[in-house]
This record gives sequence, C-alpha cells and structure tokens, in this order.
Amino acid sequence: MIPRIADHSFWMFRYLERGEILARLLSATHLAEMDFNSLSERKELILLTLSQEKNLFLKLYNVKAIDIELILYFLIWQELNPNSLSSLFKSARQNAQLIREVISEQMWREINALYLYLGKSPQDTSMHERHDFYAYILGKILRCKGHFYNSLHRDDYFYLMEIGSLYERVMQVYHMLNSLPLFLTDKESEAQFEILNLLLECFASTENYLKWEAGFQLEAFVEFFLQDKSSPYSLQYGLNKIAQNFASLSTHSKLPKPDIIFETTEYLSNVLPATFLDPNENEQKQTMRELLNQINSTLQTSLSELSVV
Amino acid sequence: MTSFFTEQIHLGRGLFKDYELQPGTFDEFFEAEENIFLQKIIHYFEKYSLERFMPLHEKAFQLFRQRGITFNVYKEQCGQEKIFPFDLLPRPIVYDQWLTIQKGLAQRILALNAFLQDIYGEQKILKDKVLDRELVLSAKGYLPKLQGITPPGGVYIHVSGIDLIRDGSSFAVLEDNLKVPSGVSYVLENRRITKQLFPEIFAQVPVLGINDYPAQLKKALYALLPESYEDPLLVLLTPGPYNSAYYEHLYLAKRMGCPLVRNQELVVENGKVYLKTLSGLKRVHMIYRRTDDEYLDPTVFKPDSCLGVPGLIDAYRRGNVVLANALGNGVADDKAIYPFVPQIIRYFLGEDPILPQIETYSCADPSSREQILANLSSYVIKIVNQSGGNGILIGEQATRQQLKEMGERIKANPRDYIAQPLKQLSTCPTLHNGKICPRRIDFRPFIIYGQTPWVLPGGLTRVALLKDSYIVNSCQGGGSKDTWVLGPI
Repeated sequence: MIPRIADHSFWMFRYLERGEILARLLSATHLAEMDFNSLSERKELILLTLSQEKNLFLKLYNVKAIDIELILYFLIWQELNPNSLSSLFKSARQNAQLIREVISEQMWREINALYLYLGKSPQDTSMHERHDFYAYILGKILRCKGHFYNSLHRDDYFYLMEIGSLYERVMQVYHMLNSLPLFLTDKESEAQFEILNLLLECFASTENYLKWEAGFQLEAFVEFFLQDKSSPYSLQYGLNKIAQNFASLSTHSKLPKPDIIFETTEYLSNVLPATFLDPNENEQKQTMRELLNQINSTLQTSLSELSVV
Repeated sequence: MTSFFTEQIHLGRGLFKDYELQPGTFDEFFEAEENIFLQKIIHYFEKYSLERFMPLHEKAFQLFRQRGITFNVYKEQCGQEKIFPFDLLPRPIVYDQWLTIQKGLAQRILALNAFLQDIYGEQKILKDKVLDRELVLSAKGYLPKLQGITPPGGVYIHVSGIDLIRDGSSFAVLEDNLKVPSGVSYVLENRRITKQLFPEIFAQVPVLGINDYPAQLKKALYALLPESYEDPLLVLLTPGPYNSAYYEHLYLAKRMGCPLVRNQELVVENGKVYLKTLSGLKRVHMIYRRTDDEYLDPTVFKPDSCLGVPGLIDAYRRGNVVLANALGNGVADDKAIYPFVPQIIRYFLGEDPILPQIETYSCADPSSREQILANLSSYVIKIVNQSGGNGILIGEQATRQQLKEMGERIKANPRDYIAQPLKQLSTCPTLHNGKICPRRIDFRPFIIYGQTPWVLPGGLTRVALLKDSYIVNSCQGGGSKDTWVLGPI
C-alpha cells in the first residue's frame, strides 16, 4: 500500500460522504418546506447547524435577518466555505485525481462529472430547477458508490475508502444527535414529526427506521441512530464496520490497535437515548465525545503510521 | 354565480386565454370564494403558455412511469398496468370550506362506526324502527356470522374514503367507502410531482401538508392494540401484484415500515395468526387487509377463494388478531343505506349532519319505485353494492333500450337499486387534447380512525377527462388532480 494513496483514498470518500449527506439534507428541506407546517420556522437553524458552519456563515455575512437563499448559496456555492457542496466535490475530485490509477474509470467519471456539473451550473438555481439539481448530484454519488462496491478490488485502498465513508457518517450522525435539543424546543407532536422525518430523510434512514419502530418517538429515534446494529447510518453499525475494516487491512498488525473502537461500541450499547435529549452537558455526552476524539486520533495516527510502513 | 373573478374570465390570459366556463356548472377556479391564495394560484398558472405547460405534463407522465405508479385494469388483458392519468392543474379548497368538510367527515365516521357497532351488537336502531330491519339485514355487506364480535376499541372503520361533490357552492356527500377504500397513494404521489414541477407556487401559497398519512395510519392502528403486547407485528395483506391497487399496497407497506404479505405467507395455528419467515413462524397481531371480506377466509366465506387465510376469522373472533378495516363494513356503505345516514347521525350522535348529501330514492320503496320507473331518464340509477362507477346508468345520456333494460332489472330486484337526480358536478380547468377546458370532478378525502377520527388535509380529486362525462373513476377513463387545501389567511 502506498501511503499517499491511502491518505487520498480515505479523504476522497470522507468528502463524498459529507457531500452526499448535505445534498440529501438540502433536497429533503426543499421538499419539506413546501408544506405549510411548523418546519418553516426552523429550517434555517437546521441547515446551518447540521452543516457545522454556522459561525463561518455569521462571520461572512453579518446579517440580522437570515435569508434562506443566502444560506443555500453559502451551502451550495460559497468557495470560502470548505463544506459547501462545491468545495466538497472539488476536494473529492482533487483526491480522486491523485489516485486515479487505483479507482475504477467509472468511479472517476462520476466524480469528475459531478465536479464539472457544479462548475457549469448557474449559481442562482431557480426553485424550479432545484429538485433536478439535487437529484443529479445524489444520482452521481450513488453511481460512484455503486461502481466502488461493484468493481473495486478488495484491497487496502478499498477498506480505507470505506473507513473514510463510515467515519464521516458516524461523525455526522453524532453531531445531529447532539443538535436535537436545539431543534426540538417544544414537544408539539406535529413539529416533532416534521423535524424527525426531515432528519431521517437526510440520513437515508426513513424506511429502515419505520421497519424498526411504530412511531416517531424521540427516544426511539435516538436509540435507532445510536444502537441499531443493522442500519447503515447508526453509530453502532458504523463503528463495528470500521473495526472490521481495520482488521482487514493487510498492514493492520503494524497499526495501532483500534481497541478504542471496541471500547466505544461497548459504551454505546449502554448509553441512554435520553442523554442526547438533554440540552445540558452531562457525563455520558462528555464520555462519548472523548471516545470519538480518541477514534479520530487513532485514525489520524494510523494514516501517518501508514506513511512509514 | 358571478364572482370577483368573472371579469377576469372574459379577459382570459396565458394558459386560460381560451378557457370557457361550462354552462350550468360551478368552476372551482373562477367561480369559487374570494381568496387571496386562490387568486395567486390563478395568476401563477396564467403566466404559462400552452407551449410551456404541455412539456410539463409530459414530464409528469414520465415521472409516474419511471416510478412505476400504476394501477391494474381488470377488463384489459391480464390486468394491464396503466399510468393513472394525472392533470397538473390542482384543485384548490379554501381553508374555511375545509374546516366544515373536516368536521362533517369526522361526524359522519363516528356515526357510521356507531351504526356498525350497533348492527353487529344489540341492533337498537332496528328495534327502535329508525331503519327498516329487512333493508339493513338484506344488505350484501352484512355478515351475520360476525354478529356479536366487537373489534378492539369498537373501531370498525379504521380507514375510509368519503366521496364528495360540489353542486353549486356547497360540498355534499355522494358516497361512502368503508370497506377497502383506495387512492391515497396517488394523493401522496400527486403532491410529490406537483412540488417537483411547481415549487415556486408553494412558496407563495400555504398548502397544508399530507406527508404524515402513513405515520398517522400506523399510529392509529397501534393505538388499538392491547398494551400487554410486546413488539406487536403489523402486516399489510395484499391480494397480490395483479390487484388493481397493488402499487398502493406496496407504497403504504414501505411508508409504514410493515411487511407486505400474501395470503399463503400467513398461517393460523391454535387461533393465532403467524407469518412464515425463514427463521420460523412470527406472531402477527394486526393485519391491514386490502382483500375484500368475502375472499378473506375460505372456511367461512367464499370456499373457492385463493386469496384467503383459512382460520383467519376464527382468530379474529377470538380477539387474537386485529383486522383493519373490520369485517362487515359493507352494510354501512351499502347505497340502499346511504339515504338514511342523516337519521343514523341524529340517532347516535344527537346532532344534525354537518355535510348534506344527495337526495336519494330507494327502489325498494314502492312509491319511490313507481316515480323512478316513470321518469328513468331524469335520474342516475346505481346498483347498491357496486363500486368503481360500474353499473351506473345516467338517464339523461342513456338510450331507450338501456332505459328499458334498466327498468326491467329494477322490477326484478328493486332492493338492489337507488336513484338520484343528476347533479352537475363542479368543474376544474383541465388539460385535454392540447387545450385547457373545464372537466367535472369529485373529491375523495380520507379519514383514519384510531382513537379519534383524523382527516387527511387533502384528498384525491378525480376528474372525468371526457367532455360531458360524469364518470371520474380510474377504471373508466378518469384521471386525478392534486388537491390543495389552502392554509388560513
């Protein structure tokens, strides 16, 4: 395994995953906001919070009244936002370009087409075109992933790419769960339904959740994303899969042992869903954060270790 | 009726440039109540030319096709799949009107449910001679084998679709569908398509959301289960992919997160229902069944039914499985009972009906029958236990031979027929053969009843695509429109 490729593989998929989740959030919000319901008052907050760039937005625009069109521009096109769709796919493509010999030609074409599409799309996409715009982006990412799973050799690069994707998911879901108390300021069931429905759509989990649980209950929602072992977006699933992929790496014996991942999944099994519904800091939240930080360090260390392997 | 918009009709702009009102009918766009949101809708669509609008229609068709949103037509060879014709121009309902409809529907369902409880219970309404015993108990949908069985929570009508029309400015009930009403999946998909194609108008006009229908249905059904059940299983029972509404079964099963099962996948053992899975039998607690009553259990009803589950009624009788809708609802939506629903409402609820209904005459009544037979061409004749527009004769449009044959059928089986005066259904601008023209519509809102009735803020507007046609049913060439219940001003 060539260290440069290992690093770019990991990051290419992190950016793609981050872009996919953001595109889905934007698409779900676009559809949901057309209904006359209580989501209308919260969509700006949800978009900025989940993008994790609220502070940058306020710094760049310094506006008193937050305009949804400005937020959309910031999240889709703003070059100064490293986590806009445009920036994310540019970064994904840059990484893909540097490992072109390793990824399949079909994967490269999908990522490149995505980059070119964003480059030539008008930055003032009308409401009329937005649905098709998001659908195109999501289609391209899913096709890229399809080629990835369908045709790529199961070597170390494959496992690292998947680790990148899974880790990004874990961090995004964790952030979403932490943000719930901000979104759900009242317990009105209609508002709760709209927001939970939106978040399920954002994380492509609506159908899986509905198979798992009878209704849109808050605690069940949190439990699903924390502890369900079969849902591809739950923390348990993501962390277990990361650990498996680590074990599959041919150089795994030379890497730091990912015991921290097992420790985290063990801890996760006992975390109370109510923890994340508490707007205040508490011991379980703090421990989860520390564990995830340690996983991050392990991953970073592993990638640097790979440079010297 | 003249209205605020009449002047603008004569001016005619853009898409409605050549639009002409149909004489004697009420137009939902141009003769409706003064409402700022309705005005915005008209102005929005006015900006389209036919040249710009037609490709959107084609796009909608392609979207339906890509997503496989179809229905099967039995008359065609082997139940051919067809795209449900969809007209892009929505049907608006203003908020104040909606509030009345909502209250009226909830009242109607409560009363009809109480009627079913009573008919399968003490039959007080018959003992008090409010309704004729023979008329009720001779209904094809009355199932005497279920006498004495009360479903959980006393709820019979978990899901209903009540057909409404507008003759003039008020809504009236045309028909009740209490057995296995269909159409809600098209309501949800129609909305998805119009949001995709006309997002800008939703930013200008508040349209009440309908997305939570599957969640509401699931919640209502689960609310009826005893608390003692751990991890109860709900399944959706479908007759299979050749059923006309199979797409809807599939859609609802996915959106509710419950298994879609066929009869051969269920088995009854020791009075309990189980789902056959690869890891063994799994207990089923509740079945949202889309199979008609008479096909459900060959050991009780039709012995040659290939769609049933032997022993299912026994499990139901023992209270070991909840069936939604309950069995035997057909007695309440029998067209011969329909004329008496206002009395049913007064009897069980002590209230006057909020929603009026069409005056209806039963051919079973000798004096009505005489009047009907003498004036067949003035009535719409319906068979009491048919649906889908089948068996309807519109006297005004019938030939002499058809009228004669109908007269003979009525004389042979008078209980099986009712007559109603022909009502001018309201019209709505509709694209047909490259032109925008008025076409007749009706409206089917859906009501879910778990602990209390919940009315979906929208519904299926069905449109008769042919000029001068009154038949809106999909299997007879009708189409549908998105229904926009507008928010409060």
